[in-house]
Amino acid sequence: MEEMPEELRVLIKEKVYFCYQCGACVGSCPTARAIPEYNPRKMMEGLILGEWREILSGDLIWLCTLCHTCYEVCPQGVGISHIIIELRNLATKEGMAPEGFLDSAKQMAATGYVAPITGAVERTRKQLGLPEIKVIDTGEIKKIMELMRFRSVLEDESG
Amino acid sequence: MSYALFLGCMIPLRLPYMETAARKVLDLLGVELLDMPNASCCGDPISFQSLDRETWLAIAARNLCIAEEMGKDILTLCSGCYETLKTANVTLKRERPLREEVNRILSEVGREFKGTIEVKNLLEVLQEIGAEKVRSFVTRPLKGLRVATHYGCHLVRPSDVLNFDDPMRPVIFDRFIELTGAESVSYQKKMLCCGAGLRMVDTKKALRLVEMKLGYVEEAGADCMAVLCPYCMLQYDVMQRMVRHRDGGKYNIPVFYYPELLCLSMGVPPEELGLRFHRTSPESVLKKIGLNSPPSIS
Ligand code: SF4
Ligand code: SF4
Repeated sequence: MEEMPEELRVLIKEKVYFCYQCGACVGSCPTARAIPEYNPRKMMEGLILGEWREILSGDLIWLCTLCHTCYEVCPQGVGISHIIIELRNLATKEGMAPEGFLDSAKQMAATGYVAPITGAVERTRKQLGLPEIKVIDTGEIKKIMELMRFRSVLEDESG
Repeated sequence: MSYALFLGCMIPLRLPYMETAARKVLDLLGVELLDMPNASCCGDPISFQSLDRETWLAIAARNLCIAEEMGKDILTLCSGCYETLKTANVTLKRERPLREEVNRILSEVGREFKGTIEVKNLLEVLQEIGAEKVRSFVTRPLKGLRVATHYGCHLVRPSDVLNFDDPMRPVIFDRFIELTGAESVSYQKKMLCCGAGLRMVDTKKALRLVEMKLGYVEEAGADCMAVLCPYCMLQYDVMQRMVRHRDGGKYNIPVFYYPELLCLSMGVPPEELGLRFHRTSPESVLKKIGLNSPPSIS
């Protein structure tokens, strides 16, 4: 990726540039609490200073829990969680999404659920007096994913 | 009163006892729950939204269409589903070009998003029934029980879309806890995320967030935690067990899905709930409210 993607350029111009580096996002960020090297303020600084390639291809963007706390506390309306979503979407297009994220999309295409339907859960449901799990006709789901050009993500599935 | 029940994945497929409690309490309150034929996973606000936001919205919109066809508002039992479906509903109602784009896709599968229904979380449905009416069903008040409420992120944020309660200082869940006769205790870092979103990449670090929260809850002297989302439940109930095993017995804080506490306060016998499937034994709480505990599986 040589050129900055247009979506990112717009986002930086309309949102990230307003970041005045106060650090309120860092103070309220759960991931920063658990992982000291994760710092949303620095991430915004990097984007302002043109280091978007490193950020986009790095591991850090995938550590955010999407709790949207930063979105609520930022005095400048930067909306970091939404910027992270956009960065992840772009990284996915470049084939850089982590396994765990892709797995749930594959599971979804296969069954319509992101968790597997196991014999054990069927038994538990029976014990709990719950109705059987409905098998979903996944035709519509697959079609939607295909039409949304989501296939790149599901390459292994489509062969 | 009837709703289209949106179950999602985590509750029916991983923690079905949560479904049992929710169905029981809503049945007691006279709410009819209707199946949503061919509804899929909501679209998962973390994994799907991260991979491709438009696909996420389109899959959510397809689920919304099913309820629209039924002519019913949706009730979600999971906060992840709530965020996804409500975000899609609100965003597609607000933003015309996006709605047209999504409808172009949906038309290929014979559906159309019309924007005719609302998406509600469990507490909103209880509000609709009326807090006083719900309270009138409480026959065995949970007197003396000290509960630490964990709201969970996706119930209240992003607030400009969800618009349910204050995103950083919410109060509604606490009021609903007090309605059972229990006391909602205040504790530090109440809005700290459970860390489920971190699990997909680094489960060990997600465990740190669980441990921190449990520390604050214990410090406040709470008897148990109450949650509204299966991801939070997994984190605090199941992962607490891992914390316990690693730390040699530290933390033994029962965690309840709010409908379980409501059921107990309404006189539902504990053996009718799936309490034995909890991984952190709820025994101490049952004892405190004067009930015998069902045999545990852990
Ligand atoms: S809270 Fe907003 S303005 Fe402050 S550092 Fe974070 S993104 Fe920048
Ligand atoms: S959304 Fe991500 S960056 Fe923002 S506070 Fe939560 S974990 Fe931190």
